Amino acid sequence: MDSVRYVDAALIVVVLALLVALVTVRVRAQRRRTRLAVARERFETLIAARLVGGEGVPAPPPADLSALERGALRDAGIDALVELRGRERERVAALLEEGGVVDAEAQALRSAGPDRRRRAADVLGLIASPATHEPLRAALEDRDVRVRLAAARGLAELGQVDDEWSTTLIADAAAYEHRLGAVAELVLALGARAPARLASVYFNSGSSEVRRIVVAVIGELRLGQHVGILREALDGDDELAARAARGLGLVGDVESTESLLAVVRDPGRSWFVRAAASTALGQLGDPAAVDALAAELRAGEWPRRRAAAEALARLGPAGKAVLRSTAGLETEAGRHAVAALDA
Amino acid sequence: MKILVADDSSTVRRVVSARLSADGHDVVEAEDGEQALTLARDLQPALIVLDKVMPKLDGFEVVRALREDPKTKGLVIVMLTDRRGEDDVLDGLGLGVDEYMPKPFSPRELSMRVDRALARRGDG
Amino acid sequence: MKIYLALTVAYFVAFAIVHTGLLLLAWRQLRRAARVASVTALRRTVRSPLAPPISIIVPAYNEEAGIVDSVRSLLALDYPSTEVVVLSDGSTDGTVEQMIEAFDLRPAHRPTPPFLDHRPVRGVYVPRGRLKLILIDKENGGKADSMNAGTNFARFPLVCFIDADSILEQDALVKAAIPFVEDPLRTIASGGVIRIANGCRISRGRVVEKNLPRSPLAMFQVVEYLRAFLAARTGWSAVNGLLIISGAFGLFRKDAVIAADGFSTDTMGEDMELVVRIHRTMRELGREYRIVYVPDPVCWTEAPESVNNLRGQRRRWQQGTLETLWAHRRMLFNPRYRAAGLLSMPSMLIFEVIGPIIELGGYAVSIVAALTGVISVGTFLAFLALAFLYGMVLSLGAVVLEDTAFGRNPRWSDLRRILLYSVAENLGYRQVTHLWKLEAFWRLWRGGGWGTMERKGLSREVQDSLASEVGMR
Repeated sequence: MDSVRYVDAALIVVVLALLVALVTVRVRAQRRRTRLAVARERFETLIAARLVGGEGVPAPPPADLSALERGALRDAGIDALVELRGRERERVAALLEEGGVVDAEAQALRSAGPDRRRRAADVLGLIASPATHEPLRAALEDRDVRVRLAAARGLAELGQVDDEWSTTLIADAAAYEHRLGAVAELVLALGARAPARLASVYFNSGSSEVRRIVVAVIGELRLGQHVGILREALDGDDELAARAARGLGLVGDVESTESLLAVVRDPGRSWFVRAAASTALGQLGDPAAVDALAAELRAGEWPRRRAAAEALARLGPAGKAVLRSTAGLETEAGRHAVAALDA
Repeated sequence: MKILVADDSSTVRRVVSARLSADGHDVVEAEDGEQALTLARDLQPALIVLDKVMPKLDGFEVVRALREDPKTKGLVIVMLTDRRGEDDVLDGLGLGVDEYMPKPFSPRELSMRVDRALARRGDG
Repeated sequence: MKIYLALTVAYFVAFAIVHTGLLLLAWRQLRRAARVASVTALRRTVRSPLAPPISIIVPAYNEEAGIVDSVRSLLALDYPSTEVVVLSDGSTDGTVEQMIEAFDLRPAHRPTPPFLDHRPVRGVYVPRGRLKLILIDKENGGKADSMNAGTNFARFPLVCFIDADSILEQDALVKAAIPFVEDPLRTIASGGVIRIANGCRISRGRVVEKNLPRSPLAMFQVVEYLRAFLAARTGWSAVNGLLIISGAFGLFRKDAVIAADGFSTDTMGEDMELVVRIHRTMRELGREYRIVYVPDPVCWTEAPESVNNLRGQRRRWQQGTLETLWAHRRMLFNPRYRAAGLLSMPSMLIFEVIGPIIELGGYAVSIVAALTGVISVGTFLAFLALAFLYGMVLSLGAVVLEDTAFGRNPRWSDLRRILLYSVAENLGYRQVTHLWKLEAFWRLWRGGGWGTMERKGLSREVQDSLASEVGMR
C-alpha cells in the first residue's frame, strides 16, 4: 500500500508532461497556421488574377518557395480546381505547374509513406495537365494498391486509359476487397471520361462486384451506348440483374420491355429482381406490361406489390384503370393501388 | 453594379470577385450566411452570388430571409451549389432564386449569367 | 481492509492502462484519418452518383416548439440524396399541425410496410410540393417503437436516426457516410461525435456560434464527453468493438436493422442494445462486418443542466447498459464474438458496472481504515490522490487528443476553462455519477425483473446491400 506514492508520482509526471505537450503543440500549431494563412491568401489572389489576366500574371519561381508555401499553393490550387470547370481549370493547372507543385508532387510519389504517395497521386490526378501523365503512369507500378488506384483514377480523369492496364488494375483492386469504394470511383471516372472502356472492363473482369459496379455506373450515368451490357447482365445472377433492370429503366431502353417482362413473370427469380424489373417497366412506359404488373399486385412479397402499383400508375389509362378497379378492394393489393393513385 | 459574393471558400470568393471586378462591378465579400444577410441589408447590392452551403446560415435560409425583408426583396439572386439534380433547381426557383449555377462552374459562364440576370431584372 | 484497498488500487491502475490503450488507439486512428481525409475527398463523395441515399428518421414526441426548424435544416443538409421521415409518436401538442402548416402537407394513403413491428399508424402526410419529406402520425409507443416505424417507411438503403432536438452540422451526413462509401461490403453502422450545444448560439436550426457552456454542470459534461466518448469510442471502433452508437446521431444499413428485428422496445438503452445485437447477429451469421465511430461528423445536443435531469439521464443510461449486458450475457468472454465479446463488453462490465462499486467502496474503506489507524494518514492521502490522478490523466489525455486532432478550442480562455473543469470533474463530479449508476443497479435489482428476455440473435437473412437497395427503393 505504501507503494501507492510511487504510482502517484508517476502519474503526476505524466500529467505535467501532457500539459507541456499540449501547450507546445498548440503554440507551434498557431504559428504554423498564421504563416499558412498569409501564404494562402497570397496564392489565392494570384490564382484569381491569373484566371482573369491569363499568362500575363507570372507564377512565383519555385526556388523561392518554402515547403510550407508550396503546400499552400498546392492547396489553394486544388480548391480552385475542384470548384472550376473548363478552360479556366487549365489556367490554374498551368500556374501550379509553373510554381513547381507538379514537380514536388512527382517527387513525393517516391517517398516512403504510402499515404503521402497516395495523396500525391490524388493531387496529380486532380491537376490533370499534360505534365502529370508521366509521373502518374510511373505510379501505376507502385507497390501499394491504394496508390495505384489513385494514379489510375487520375489517368482515367485524363481520359488516358488503355484496355490492358485498366482491367488488370481493376481486377487487382477488387481482389483487395476492402477498396471496393475506390474501384467504384475508378469505374466512375472511366465512365465519365472514357465510357467506351467500360465494355472491356465488364467483359474481362473476373469479379462479380466489379461487374455490378460497372452496370450501376452505366445506369446512373445513363450511358446509352452500353445498353447491350445491361441487356446481357439481365441474365446474370440476381444481384447483377437487379442493377441491370434499374439501369435499363434509367436509360430508357424500350426494346428491353420483353426481357423485363420475362423477369417479372419468372418465379425462379428473387423478389428484389422482379421488383426492380417492375419499376423499370414503369419508367419505360409501355402499356404491354399492364397485365404482368396487374398480376404482381397480388404477389407474395410486399416490395413487389408496391413496385407493381407504382409502375402501373405510370402506364397511362390502362394502368390506372387496373389500379382503380383494385383500389376498391379491402386487400393489400387494394391498399397499394390506392397509394399509387394518390401519389 | 454593386455585387455581394458569399461563399465560405476563400478561393471561390477571390476567383468570383476578380472575375466580376474585371467586368466592372463593385464587389463585396461575405464568408458566411449571417454576414451575407447583414451586408445585404446594409449595402443594398443589386445582385448577390450565394453559395448554397455555408456556415452559420445556409444559402436557402439566406434566400428566405432576403425575400421576407422588404428592403432586400428585389435583390437578384444567383446561387452556386454542389448538388446535382433538378429537384434543387425547382426548390431554389420556388423560393425566389433567379439563376442557379451548379459547381464545378466556369467563372466566365458565371459572369455571363450575372449579366443576364441583371438584364432580366432591369426589364421586368 | 488493506487487501480491499490494494484491490482498489489495482483496479485504478487497470482502468488507467486499458483506457490509455484506447486513447493511443484513438490517437493513431485520428492521425490516419487526418492524413487521408481532405476537403476534396468530401466533395468527391458529395458529388458522386454512387453515394448511397439516406433516409433521415426523426422520432418526435411533443416537439411543436422546434420541429419545423429542425426538419428544415435537415432538408438543407449538404448531401446528394436524402429524405426526411418524421414520426409523431402520439404527440398531444401541435407537432403534427405545425408540420402540416409549415411544409404544406396533405394526407396520403400509404400502406404500412411489414418489415418491423410497431404501434399502429394513424395517418400519413406528404408534401404537395417536391420536398422529400413524409410525416407519420402513430400511436404512442416510445422512441424505439417510432424508430422501427421510421425504418419501415424509409425508402433508402441507409437510415440515419437522430433526435428531434439534435442539430447536425452541414457536412455531418457526408462524413458519417464515408465509411459506407469506402467499404460498402462490410460497413453496417457508423456513429459520430455528440457535442454539447449549451452555450452555443443557435439560429434557424443551425449552430451559429460555438461557445462553451456557462453552466458548471454542462461544463462537467463537456469534459466527460471528451474522455468517455471521443477517446474511448474511437479506440473501441478501431478494433471493431464499438458497443454503442448514440440514438442522437447514428447511420445504419436499413437491411441490417431489419434483419436484427429493429430496436427493442423493452429496454432503456435501445441504441446500445441494437448495436450489441448487430455484433451478435453478424458473428452468428459468420459475416464480415464493421461498426465504425467516425470522430469527425458533429451532432449538437442540449445537455441536462439541472441535477435532477442529469441524474435521471444517467440512471437511464446505466439501466440500459445493465439490461443490454444481461440480455446478451452469453457474449461475455466468448471468443466467438471477438472484440465485442472479449474486450469491450467485459470492459464495460468491469469498468462501468462493477467499477463504481469498487471505487466508492474504496473511498468508504479507506476512510474507515485511516480513522482506525489501519493505514497511515499519509497513505490515505496518497490513495485519494491516486483516485483523483488516474481519472485526471485520462481526461487530460483526451483534451490533448481533441486539441491536436481537431483544434476545436482555438481560444486560450476556452482551453483554460476546459482544463480547470477537468480537474474539478475528477474531484467529485465523476464520483457522484458513480453513485447514480449504483442507484440504477439498485432500482433494477429491487424492481425484480430485468425487463428484457434473452433475445435471439438470428431472425432473418441479411440481404446483400445491393439487393436491398434495389428492392426497397
